[in-house]
Amino acid sequence: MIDFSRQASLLGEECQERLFNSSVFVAGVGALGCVVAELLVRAGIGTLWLTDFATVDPPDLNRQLLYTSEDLGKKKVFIAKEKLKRINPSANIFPIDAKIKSGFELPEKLDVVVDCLDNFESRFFLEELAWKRGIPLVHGGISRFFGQVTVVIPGETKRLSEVFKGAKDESHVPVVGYVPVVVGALQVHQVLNLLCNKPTLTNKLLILDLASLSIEEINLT
Amino acid sequence: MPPFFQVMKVKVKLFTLLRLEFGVSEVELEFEKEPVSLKEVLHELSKRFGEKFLSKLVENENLKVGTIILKNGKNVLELDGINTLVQDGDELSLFPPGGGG
Repeated sequence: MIDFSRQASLLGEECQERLFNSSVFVAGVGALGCVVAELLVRAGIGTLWLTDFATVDPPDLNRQLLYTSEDLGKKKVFIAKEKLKRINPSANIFPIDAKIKSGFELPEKLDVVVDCLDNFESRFFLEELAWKRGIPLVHGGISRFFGQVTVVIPGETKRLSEVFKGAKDESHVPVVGYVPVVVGALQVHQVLNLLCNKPTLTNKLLILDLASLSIEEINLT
Repeated sequence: MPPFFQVMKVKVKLFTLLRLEFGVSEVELEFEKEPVSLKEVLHELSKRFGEKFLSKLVENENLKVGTIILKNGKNVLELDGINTLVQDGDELSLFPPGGGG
């Protein structure tokens, strides 16, 4: 069992209680999803849904922290669940072996959706599902030494499909392992802030640039 | 130019790969007329950064996919694309977003 006293004293008992009672959907358990899922489980999120259709491949191991060479060829969601349960056996973890595309439906009773996907087409589809259900979405994306994070709140903020209209997907995005660690951590910070009613990156796009060691915000209008 | 016209200033911020490639994070451009089109701004930038800059962003007189251009925080594709009008004090943010996860 995890003793949460070191963070509950910082976040407050009420916030910690909310985390225990929260249900978070993690879309994609690749580089960002591994960081996000692990930090959410360590934070005490009560219920976590993990969705991915891929298996662990050798090129994944430079940055997808939940997997090791022993996991090659196995489905990511099931390996991730197994590792996460070892970290926090009390967490309810539901793996969904599926691609997020037409026909996919989000589970009931979600508090936050976290976008850890690897292409904009799927992201816009996920956003549409969350938007219709009124569920906040925390977006993260990475490439090379860079990444971005923003929070979408249905009816209040700009949508990803507006902000990133004209974005182009790359196959085999080059990236170093420490970039998703930082971006994933920033996403989890936003999830906890959403759940505990603290300020979030609403109508703001945060851009992380580890090549120039800068972190900047753009106000979205 | 009208007798009392002051130069129009536009701030252009480059992020991520553009910043890395062209070595600049922010540029302030001045124009002797107002407004100008985004196309004119991009051509002005190419005078500083070279044709390579323009070829990354523009193809057949239209914006290429891949790089997001925000004018005061709004995607120019939600406005008038390459013909979006830019006025004094406007801020443009240019970045290819990270698509990976």
